[in-house]
Amino acid sequence: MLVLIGLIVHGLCAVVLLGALSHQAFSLLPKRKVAVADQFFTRYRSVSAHSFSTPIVITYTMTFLLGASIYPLYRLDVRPAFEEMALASAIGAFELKEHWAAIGLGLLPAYWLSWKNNVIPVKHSLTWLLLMVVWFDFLSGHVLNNIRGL
Amino acid sequence: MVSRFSYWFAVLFSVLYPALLAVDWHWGLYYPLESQWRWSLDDTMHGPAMQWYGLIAAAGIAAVVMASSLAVFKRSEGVALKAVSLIPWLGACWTVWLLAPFFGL
Repeated sequence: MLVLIGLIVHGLCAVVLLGALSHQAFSLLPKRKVAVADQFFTRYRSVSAHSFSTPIVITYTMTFLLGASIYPLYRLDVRPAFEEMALASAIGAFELKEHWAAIGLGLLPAYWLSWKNNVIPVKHSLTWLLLMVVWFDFLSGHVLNNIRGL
Repeated sequence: MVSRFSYWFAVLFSVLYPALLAVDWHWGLYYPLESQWRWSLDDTMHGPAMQWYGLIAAAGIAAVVMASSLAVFKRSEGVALKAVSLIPWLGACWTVWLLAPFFGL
């Protein structure tokens, strides 16, 4: 039961993280000379992006720690099933998820400081990289859980 | 100094992590079936050994030590800022390349 709660909270934190990081990344895209105020995309990117970086760091860390705490159960219950089914690509996808998540964790201090100090090339680069990591981790986690869940 | 340290840490961690993954070096293993930690493979333990936690610890500690040494030099900030925009992307790509055999590549 505790594992199920952990997995659900892990997923919910990931959703919050996805939303925040996507809004922030899209706010970095070049603005149109004449923006149409009521368009969905204009509204989607019109966020106070610099205020998102602290919540993003907190939710990334929470999502990471929750994932790290339920990982042993994946190793014992889910991965052997993937091995029996000869699903090397599923094992590989989870491996990539965990390794990219770890690299993303190491980037958080630099990411946060680049937004605080408005270091434009660094904040662009790290925000888009973290976005790629978070989207991949979210989608691969869901697909893998559909194949064989905890 | 904190900024320089953070940028250097990001650069070094994003390279050290896949490098240690490539050579299969880590700082400890966790055996989830027995809830025990070991420094290296132990034939007396049952179940699989997890290296991920040890890998993060090894890369993190090495990156902290190296970044602390580099952050002392003020002149290194320019190099750190250029590197941190590019190197983490290369680290992510290197990780994909290391895992390519899982996808039949």
